[in-house]
Amino acid sequence: MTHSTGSGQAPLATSGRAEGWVRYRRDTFSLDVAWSVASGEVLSLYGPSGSGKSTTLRLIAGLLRPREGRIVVGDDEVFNGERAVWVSPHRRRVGYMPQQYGLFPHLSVYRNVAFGLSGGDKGDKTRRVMEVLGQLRVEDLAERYPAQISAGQQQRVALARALAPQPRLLLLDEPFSALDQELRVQLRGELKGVAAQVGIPMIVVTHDWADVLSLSDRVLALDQGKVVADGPPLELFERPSAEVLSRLTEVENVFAGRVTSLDRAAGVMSCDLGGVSLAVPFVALEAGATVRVGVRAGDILLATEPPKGLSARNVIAGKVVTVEGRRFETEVLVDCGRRFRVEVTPGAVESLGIAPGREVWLVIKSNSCFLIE
Amino acid sequence: MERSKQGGVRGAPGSAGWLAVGGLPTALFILFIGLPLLALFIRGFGQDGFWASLGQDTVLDALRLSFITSLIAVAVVAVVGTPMAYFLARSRFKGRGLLDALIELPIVVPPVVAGLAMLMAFGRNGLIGGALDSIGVSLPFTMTAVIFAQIFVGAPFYIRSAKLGFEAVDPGLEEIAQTLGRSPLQTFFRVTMPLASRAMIGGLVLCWARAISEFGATIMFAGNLPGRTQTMPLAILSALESDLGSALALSVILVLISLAVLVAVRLALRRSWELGT
Amino acid sequence: MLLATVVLLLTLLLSACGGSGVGEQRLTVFAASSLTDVFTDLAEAFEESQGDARIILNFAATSTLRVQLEQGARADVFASADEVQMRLAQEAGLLDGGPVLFAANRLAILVPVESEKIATLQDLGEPGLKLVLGAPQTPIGTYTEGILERIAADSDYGPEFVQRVRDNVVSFGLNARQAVAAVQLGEADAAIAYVTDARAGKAIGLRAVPLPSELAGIALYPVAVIDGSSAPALAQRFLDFLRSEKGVEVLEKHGFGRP
Repeated sequence: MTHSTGSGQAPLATSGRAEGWVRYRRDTFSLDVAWSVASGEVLSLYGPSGSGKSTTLRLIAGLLRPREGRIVVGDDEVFNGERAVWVSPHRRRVGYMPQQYGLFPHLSVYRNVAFGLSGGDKGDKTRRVMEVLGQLRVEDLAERYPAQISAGQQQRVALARALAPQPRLLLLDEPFSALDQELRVQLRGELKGVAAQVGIPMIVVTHDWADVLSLSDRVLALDQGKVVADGPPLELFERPSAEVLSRLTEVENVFAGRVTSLDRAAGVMSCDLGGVSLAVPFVALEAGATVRVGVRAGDILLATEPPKGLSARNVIAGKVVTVEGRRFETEVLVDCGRRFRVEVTPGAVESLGIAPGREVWLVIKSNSCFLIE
Repeated sequence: MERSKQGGVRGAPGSAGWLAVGGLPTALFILFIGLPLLALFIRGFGQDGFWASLGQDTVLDALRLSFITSLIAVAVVAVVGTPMAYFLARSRFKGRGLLDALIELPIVVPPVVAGLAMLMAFGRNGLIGGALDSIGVSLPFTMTAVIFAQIFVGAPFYIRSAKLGFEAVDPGLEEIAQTLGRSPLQTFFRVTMPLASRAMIGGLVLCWARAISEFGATIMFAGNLPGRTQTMPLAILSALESDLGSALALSVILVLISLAVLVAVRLALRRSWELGT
Repeated sequence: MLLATVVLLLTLLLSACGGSGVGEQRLTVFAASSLTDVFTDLAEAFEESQGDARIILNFAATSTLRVQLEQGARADVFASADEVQMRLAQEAGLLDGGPVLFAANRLAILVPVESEKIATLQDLGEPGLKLVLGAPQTPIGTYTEGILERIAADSDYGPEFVQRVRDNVVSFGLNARQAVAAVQLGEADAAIAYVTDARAGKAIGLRAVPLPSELAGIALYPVAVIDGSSAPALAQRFLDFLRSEKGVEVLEKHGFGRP
């Protein structure tokens, strides 16, 4: 142990990078991934299930052993295939939070959090436990057992437990998957705050693009064990070449803009997205606030005449730019001032005669638009 | 891990159909087990000299011997069987099913056969008994032989139960414990064992119960010498040769003590459960 | 559970109906374990001579049999290995008529044939010898106890010798045959049992070292009809057969003497 675990005054002075690369193989699955995260930075591992995200996390934590590679945490090399370096997981000082949080059911919240604090003065230990519990606003639950608290509370306790021994790197596996949408938004914000506060590198596994956008400084997109994209999330998203990525992200349309007017009673607000105005669900914001709005390609209807008598709030005129056939659906790119990706069936393309240059109308329910942070 | 506070049986408690399906057989079974035990108590306590027969040296010797040997057997099974059960619960290899079957074999082998088999192995003319004898180790007719017999018949109950207990512990919890700085050994004692404790204790109780009631293998392999190898069941059968009275008295004592242990363990388990999860 | 109950009932039914063929008379004989081989032969000979009779044999220590009879076990004939147990049975009102003696036996030291450890009684006191006796409550145990008392009183041996012998005891067999089995298995060096056990059908590899005749004493086997027998006439014929020429011939073949 090179750091004191006593007072717990964050942030710690560590050299603070976590980086490495690994090759790993099990049965027919093979993984080949490299990463680098700076102190205070959040890296998202993003991809569909089976892409190797969780495996990467477990390799870094030392719960799996790579075939070859190099893993560096803080100042230490914890794995080096060539030089036969292997530090077992309990000596790595890497905080790890699994999908279902993995709280010890036989221990109280207090003892769960104290679990990673070995040795040392009892008073220091108590102080440290209460400090992290306070940081995550769950100090009231200290005497409860995991089965007696909600999923959101469990997540905070699990996070507190991972942070208590002052790890040099924090690994979170699908931290929000067990939570409902409302709680997700709330805890995302808090997690970001915690990341900034403790000042250690953090790697978050997620399959939800909204997590990536709201939480991470960088994203590593994985597909079938390979890195398919690497960079800041928005940059990746807007790069047209990231075909694989757009397939992964599921949110094909994301636009930055500004709130122009709010209608609380109707539950909507209008946003100017640079040439296009879109009615989106109401959120307590001020007019002029910057927003990012996402719409899934599959949620947009395409009409070849101006539609009438619709409940949908957004009807936007535009021109077809490209029509690109895929295996099961066709993606139509429409220019309405901003370019929208629209998903239609190949049959619809034929019957409606959709072709580049054709004038079309996009129909979007306000509820299909969502704000990303 | 929600425990219903109101207790009771789920389904249709109290309905006639429920009673017929569950209640009647239960009542029959209680009668089936209870009646012979009741008869034993009535006859045992009802006779003259019940207390006198308890004071006999052979009885006290047999009681003491039964407890010492069965407790040692249970301790050995716990120490050797726990890592073994854990290994079996966590590893996958070819022939594991066969190993499982081998471990559980003593459950189905008649104890007399077990005793004979042990003689064939550790007896003076046994497979390795000759070698043991030549270095001055002779097992048959010793207290060690009693313990061997008890381990042989009792161990499978513990190993089986502990294995199931360990299998039910999420390996993910053990991994987390390690990422929190706990060595595999610390992890085992602080996470795995507490979580499997009910299964382990249940298994130990079964193992003990089997050990203290062990008869066939003991008389075969350890003989029947008061004060040295004559455990309670052997004393009961020996007493039966002369008079039913002291055999009954001994039986009553054995049943009462066994019952007390079973009840005590259950109470202790329930308390720990309420304190715990 | 319901299934178990059904199975239990079926079992009871089957055991109630099964067994005896039409016109066949069954005779249940409870006999001391030392009579195992000879009674098996005797039963066969008796069945031959009777034609329609079938004998069911139940062997155990005499004392066990007596307790079982007291607790209501159904039997027609009781053959005991000693007079004490027979008297107890008689006092308990178990018998129909008085017992009759039908055979005599002697006790001896039984050792493996190839063993050279024991040539005389004196060798039983050698330290480290492994000796098995019959449990004190059984007939064989009672006879053995009598012998040991006589040895202790004998000036050639004395109480200290007997104490040494007792120290060599590693186990008490619950019947004579069990004591002998320990020697046959090679676990014990010697047992005190009946001479007949040495030549019993499957007791290959044992020989009897005789005890001095003034110390050995004689084991007498009484037999009696059980009160409430379902076939008292047949039971009586079996008792007569035991003392017939044919019966005595079989007994002598197995090493038993006349009472």
